[in-house]
Amino acid sequence: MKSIPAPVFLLCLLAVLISVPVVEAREPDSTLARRIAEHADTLMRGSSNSSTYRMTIVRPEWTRSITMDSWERGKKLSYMEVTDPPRDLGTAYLKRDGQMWTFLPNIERTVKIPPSMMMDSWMGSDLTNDDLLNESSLLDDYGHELVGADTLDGVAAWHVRLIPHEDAPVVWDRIEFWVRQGDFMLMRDEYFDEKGRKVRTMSYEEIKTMDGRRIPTRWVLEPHLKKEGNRTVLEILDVDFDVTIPDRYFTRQHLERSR
Amino acid sequence: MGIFIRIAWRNLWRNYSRSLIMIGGIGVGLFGLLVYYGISNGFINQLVEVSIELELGHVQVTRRGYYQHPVQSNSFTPANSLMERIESVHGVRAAAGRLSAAVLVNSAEKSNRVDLVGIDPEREGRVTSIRNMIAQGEYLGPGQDGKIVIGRKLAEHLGVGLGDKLVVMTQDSENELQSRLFRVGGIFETNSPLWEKTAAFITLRSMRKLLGRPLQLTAILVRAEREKSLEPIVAGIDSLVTGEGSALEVFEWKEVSPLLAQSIEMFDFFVWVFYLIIYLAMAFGVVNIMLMVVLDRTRELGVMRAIGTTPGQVMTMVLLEAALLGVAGIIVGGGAAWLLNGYLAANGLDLGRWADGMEFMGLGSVIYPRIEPLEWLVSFLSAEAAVIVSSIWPAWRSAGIEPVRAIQFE
Amino acid sequence: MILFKLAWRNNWRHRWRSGLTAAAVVFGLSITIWGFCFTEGSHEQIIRNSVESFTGHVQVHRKGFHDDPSLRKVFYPDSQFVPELEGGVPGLANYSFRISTFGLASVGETSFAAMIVGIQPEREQEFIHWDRKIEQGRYLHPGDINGALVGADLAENLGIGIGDTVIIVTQDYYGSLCGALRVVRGTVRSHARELDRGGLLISLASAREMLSMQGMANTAVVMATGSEQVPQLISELDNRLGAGGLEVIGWRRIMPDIVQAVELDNVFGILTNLILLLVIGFTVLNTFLMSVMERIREFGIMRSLGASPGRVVGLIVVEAALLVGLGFVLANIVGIGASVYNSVHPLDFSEMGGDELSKFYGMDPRIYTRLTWQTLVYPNLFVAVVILLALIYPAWRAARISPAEAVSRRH
Repeated sequence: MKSIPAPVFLLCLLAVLISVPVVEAREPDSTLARRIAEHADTLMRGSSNSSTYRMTIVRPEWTRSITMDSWERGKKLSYMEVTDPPRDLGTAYLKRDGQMWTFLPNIERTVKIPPSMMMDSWMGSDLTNDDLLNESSLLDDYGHELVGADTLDGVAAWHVRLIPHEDAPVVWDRIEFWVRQGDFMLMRDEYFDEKGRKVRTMSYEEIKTMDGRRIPTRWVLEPHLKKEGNRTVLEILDVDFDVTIPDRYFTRQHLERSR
Repeated sequence: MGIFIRIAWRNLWRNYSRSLIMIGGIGVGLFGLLVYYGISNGFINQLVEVSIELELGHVQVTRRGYYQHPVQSNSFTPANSLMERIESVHGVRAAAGRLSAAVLVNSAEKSNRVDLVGIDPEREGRVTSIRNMIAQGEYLGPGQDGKIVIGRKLAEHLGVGLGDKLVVMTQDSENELQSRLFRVGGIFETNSPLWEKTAAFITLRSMRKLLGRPLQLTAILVRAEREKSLEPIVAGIDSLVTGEGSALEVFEWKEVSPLLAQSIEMFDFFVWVFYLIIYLAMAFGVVNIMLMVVLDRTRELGVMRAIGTTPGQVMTMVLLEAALLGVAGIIVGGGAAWLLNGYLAANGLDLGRWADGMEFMGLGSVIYPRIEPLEWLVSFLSAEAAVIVSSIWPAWRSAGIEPVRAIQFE
Repeated sequence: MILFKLAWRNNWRHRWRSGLTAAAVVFGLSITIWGFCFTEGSHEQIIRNSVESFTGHVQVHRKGFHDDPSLRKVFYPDSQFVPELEGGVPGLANYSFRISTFGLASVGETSFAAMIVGIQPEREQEFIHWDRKIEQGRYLHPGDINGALVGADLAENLGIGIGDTVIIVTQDYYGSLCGALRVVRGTVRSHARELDRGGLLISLASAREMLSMQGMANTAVVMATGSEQVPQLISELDNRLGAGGLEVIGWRRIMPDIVQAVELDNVFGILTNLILLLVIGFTVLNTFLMSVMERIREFGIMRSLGASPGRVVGLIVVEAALLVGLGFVLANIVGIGASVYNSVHPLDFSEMGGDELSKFYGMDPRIYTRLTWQTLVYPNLFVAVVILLALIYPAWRAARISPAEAVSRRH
């Protein structure tokens, strides 16, 4: 499942969407959808941020939460470290040049995630390893189309449709997403397969101001197709945009440093 | 001689119920043998089809150690015109290069580990029969670099059909993760559920691009003109590639798949044992009947002896009678087997009730019995031989009948 | 009694024919008996090998685990399992507990998916016979917390040998990513392909520690005293454990493919034997029919002297019974003798290509025949039916003989 909504990506995308309120709510024109994506894509590449977020995995029988610190620069580099619960403390992930490693503090070893595990669950959540590693680009890999005005949960929204290019390495048939009219706040996106079935939904809730920007701080990912009742919730606890992150953060040495 | 055939023929109908029973015995035996043989052969053909026809070819050229450690880094760059030189070896029909790697194939719904094979569509078509296995869509064309051909089971598992998207993920030569989109261009069906689930094909060009190995191959598959006598071909190709710095090795399919070779050996053994048992069982009947024939006619044969028929001629006559009965039995049993076999070969013997069990044995659930023309002939001749050999003893006894004794009989 | 004397005399009059017929019965029946014993023996072996290679006769899980396995679906052996078995369970030979999960086996930059199984080394040794499956190195010693056994193919793919360290990465009971270092003590070459390709065995204690699953297990592997006892064992265990939320599953459900393969082989075995018996049946039919046809006069006279058709048929039947009875006795002696012999001295197929096959199907290339009441009763029944069928027409023919026909037909 080549896909978009990795926390990495989302942070960037949101950063973009929120930092572009310049695009005023006018009459929807044919380029509006593309411009949203364009801004998203450009800023995503250049964007760097550090954040703290909490991931809650909900299963029919149990629920668990993990808190993480994350640093990222562009799409190629990111580093994440678990700070809570204590039993996971120090577990870390490094993404670099299309490869991913994980550091296991209890044995102080680093393991590379093999391609065969890319579709496996990341830390038991509904995200896959590939969701984190994925480098697909909204601009390069998708065509954009403004479906029109819509109402979502009683709020006026623009409905935008992303259709992957012919040769883009994306399994989706299309992605539908909704932004709030007025401030382009992302509200929801839905992923469809070629049979027209909805495979998963991401909802964006609880808009707050963080580091000077209004962003949704709670994202809920729900897989469909035989996985009803499962849910992964990401909550941004803190975020700093456009920070300078030293290069050494994205190295194996940093991942393996004694802590 | 002609007169003896006529007498033997007439004798046959003197006690027709006895003759019919013997014909029935031989017929049922041969019918059973042939049907059993056809089905066993169908099993074997399934195995052979997948292994030689789709996976191995007759002879393979690989980098040394590839089969112990079949990973993409164990690939090699063939020298210029190596393919043509291999094809010029006596007995070689065609050769085709492949580049294979273990990859992850993803649909929107599921993902599966697959052995992805990059093939040169044109050459591959002359070496293996993947082209003929396509059930839906089409085989890869030379320019179709964005297409992937997958098995029916894999398509079902991933929930995709013709034209649907699949994203292939793998590690390239630099150990970087690569993702590439393909569309299902063809779906193949074979008799091997396992293979249908785990094999997929793209063009060699797109495989090389995906792996970042622009000139490499993991194997060259060679098809021989004739399946037997592969040693000279192996030797011939071997002498070609030793010039390549001996980084390559050449195998016969049997060496790569000893399991298949042994399965065939084992099946052959069981068929042989079954033939032997049935012929022995038939022999009891034949000896019994021919002995009765001889005892019944003690008087008549004695008279024939008395009017100058030699013991050899008497014996010949009895053997001829048995031979004629044998032929009749073969026509009945062989004919029935031919009809049933023909029907099953066309429609398949569906063992779907035991599909999982067949899969356990590496087989698909529909068997197409197969008997080659030569095998029909061998079966007929051996059955006839068995009948004649079994009647030697009764015939020999008939030759021993003395003229005088015969007249005194009764 | 006179009937028997007559019958015996008539059989003796045609001793060649009678002898050959009896011999045909002996040949067909003894081969069928032996064939059944051979088939049964090889199937028993396939099943035993599969059962002993990893799965056991019966497995017990928390309800729902079998259909949708999850590390969360556990039970507590000390409170949920062991106490329920108090007083002994008929048919139960042995059991042990496991925790199995999936993860990653990693060495350097190389990683492969692995099936990680925590076993109780001493207990399982008694019925899974792990030590026989060790290709290199040795089995886990009791209390070996740091050791691991690695599937032979997995070890090869990872490029590791005895004494090397392998990193295990998986999620623990709480979903946390956890890693563990284990030292390779031995490599396993079982007959279960998944195990050879992806198995990583550690001790149960070691797995519990790694996965934070103190006191828990997700599988109980149960061995019956014999495969015949399995159905009763399942229902008995189900009675005792079902109420506690556990599910009892027999090997037939665990390995449906093997059950079917065996079934299919049985069908083919019966068909081939049937062909043989039909051929034998024609020989028998011929003998009986001839013995009727050549005595039409004799039977006619019997009839004209007042014998009923039933008495004529009776004579034929007794004749046949004497002949065939002798054949049956001899056939059973030969068939049972050969089967018993081969149950001690197995047939060795390793010379003629059984090696790879046995490796593939997980069998010993030596096959022991197995004599059970089924392998004895069925062939005898089959042959009896075939012979009865062969007797119908001659007997019917004999019953129809009238004195007039007998006289008109001079031999």
